[in-house]
Amino acid sequence: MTPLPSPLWFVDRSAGEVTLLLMSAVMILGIVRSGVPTAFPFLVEGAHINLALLAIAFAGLHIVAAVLDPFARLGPIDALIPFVSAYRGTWLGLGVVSGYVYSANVLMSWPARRFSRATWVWLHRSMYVAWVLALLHSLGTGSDARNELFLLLNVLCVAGVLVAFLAVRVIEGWRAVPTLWAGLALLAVLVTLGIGIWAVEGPLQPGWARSSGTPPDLLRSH
Amino acid sequence: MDGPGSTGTAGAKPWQIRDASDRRKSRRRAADHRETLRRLTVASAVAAVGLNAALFLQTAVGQLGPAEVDRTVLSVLNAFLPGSTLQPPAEAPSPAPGAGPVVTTGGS
Repeated sequence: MTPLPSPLWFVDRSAGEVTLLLMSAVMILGIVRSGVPTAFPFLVEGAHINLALLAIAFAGLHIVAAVLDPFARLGPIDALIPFVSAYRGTWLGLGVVSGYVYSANVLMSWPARRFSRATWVWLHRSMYVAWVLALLHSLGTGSDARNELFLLLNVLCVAGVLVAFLAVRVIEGWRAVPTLWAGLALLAVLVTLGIGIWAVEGPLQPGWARSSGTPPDLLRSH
Repeated sequence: MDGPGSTGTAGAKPWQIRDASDRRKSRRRAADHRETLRRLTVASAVAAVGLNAALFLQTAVGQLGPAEVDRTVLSVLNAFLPGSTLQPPAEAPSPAPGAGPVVTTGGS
């Protein structure tokens, strides 16, 4: 008999989507802070930090609900070690790696920066990697990739971060090193297009639950 | 004539008065920004919790159906409030006297 999902399963999914939204807001605020340092610095930086901590709270809820929920049979090992889970292992693993990169960024930035400014800036750019991994995790592992509301929220996250990066960060960097920032702008657009094409060909197609590695006895509940 | 608020400025040089005034303005602006940030953070947290609840209901209704969600929500409430006697409705509520029939659709 197919097990019915518990309330924790739905908490897990909703908290995951809210975490991605908050991470995207944090990214946009960080881009604005670095691209236009004179625009309300106290407010932008304060909101950037507070939303980053709020995102950790929702990520914690997402992880705890996933581990406690009996439906997908995930355990602490699945939440701590990437790519070992029997439930959509690759896509779940990307979320675990994203969580580690994100946590490392928070730890080296809050409550005080732990490196020289130049080193910290370079390390802090790994947040782009954490965000892309979180997005891939959301689309690949998420049971709601084809849900219209979740899809709309994911599109808003991608559009918001891409527009902020191109309109604020690239334009600001262009003045100093045009070639480098033209290359980075092209890379951002290509990565976005690549994720879009992959999403249309993969997670948005029927049968993704099977091909993404869902255990057969859970398939009928998806 | 000097009022009580102007004590301490007698004998001060113009640049000192300007400097003190700038410092007061700067402190007031910082306090305003702190208050705005506090409100922004609280509003973001409330919005995030609200969105989480909306997404929870949407995923649950989409997968289980409204009746099962009623039972799930009630089971959670009863777990937290053991004395409560909340029960899911046995049947759909009847329309109020004099009210016309309500047409319901199945949704998507």
